Amino acid sequence: MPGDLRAHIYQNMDMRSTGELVQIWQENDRSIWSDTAFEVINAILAQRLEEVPPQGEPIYQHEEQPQKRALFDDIKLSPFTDPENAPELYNPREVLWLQKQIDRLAVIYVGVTVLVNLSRTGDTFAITANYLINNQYRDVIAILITVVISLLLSTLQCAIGYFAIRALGSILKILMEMEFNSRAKENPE
Amino acid sequence: MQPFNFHLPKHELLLRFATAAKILSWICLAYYLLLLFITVMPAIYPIDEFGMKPDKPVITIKEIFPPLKHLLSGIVTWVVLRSIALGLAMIVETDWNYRLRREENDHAG
Repeated sequence: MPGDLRAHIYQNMDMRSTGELVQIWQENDRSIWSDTAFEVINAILAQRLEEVPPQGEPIYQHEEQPQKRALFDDIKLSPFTDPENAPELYNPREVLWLQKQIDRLAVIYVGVTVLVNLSRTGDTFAITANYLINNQYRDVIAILITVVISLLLSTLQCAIGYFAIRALGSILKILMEMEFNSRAKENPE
Repeated sequence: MQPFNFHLPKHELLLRFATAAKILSWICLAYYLLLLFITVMPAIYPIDEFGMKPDKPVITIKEIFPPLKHLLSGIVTWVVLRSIALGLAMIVETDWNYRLRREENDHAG
């Protein structure tokens, strides 16, 4: 059997041009060609050429080329993201990625809103104190009013923003579930 | 699946809105980033009324947070418009799926 295999490889290799064989020989790609194939090529090149050219370093494994990745490629596969049962108009992974970012964004929104409102307390204090110019407890009252207004404003803004952003994420998830349930295929669960 | 059999003008309209939202999301993000740049520049490279650069530029907290707000607004707008685009696509896909199922049921019946 090994002799048959070698004869078969020899037959195939012998049909190739010398240039082609030299290229295979020099590339020395062991992940594509077997040791027997290189023995056969060596034998053919020895017959065809005066001197067999030197071989390059053997390649046993090709390094995987890093592919361009989308932001949402890290989302794990699930029944929703099964490529076999994928929707045509949108990428479920993108929805799941966006939903994850929306949850983070809601928290960041609260933080930034509080910071921005804190930076404006000076202005609020100045305006309030301006109205109480003739009052002997002007500063105390102005500070109290500023604290109350800032707290109310921050709470209101944070609540509106946070719940609106979280609601958006939930709406996306519900829409994806609705679309998933409307598919003709049976659920894999 | 033969989705284009079920592709109605209303689907076309929704998908156009979805595409518009997707494009608009990037335009809005670019706008807010530009706004951020315009707001940040005077704080980083301050120039007085004579066009001279002061020796010790002072950046106050009040100058830091408005740009942060612009950045946040840009990201929120991007996310909202992107979600609208995805939501519309999901609605059309759901309608296609139901129509396909109904068609299959009609043939089976």
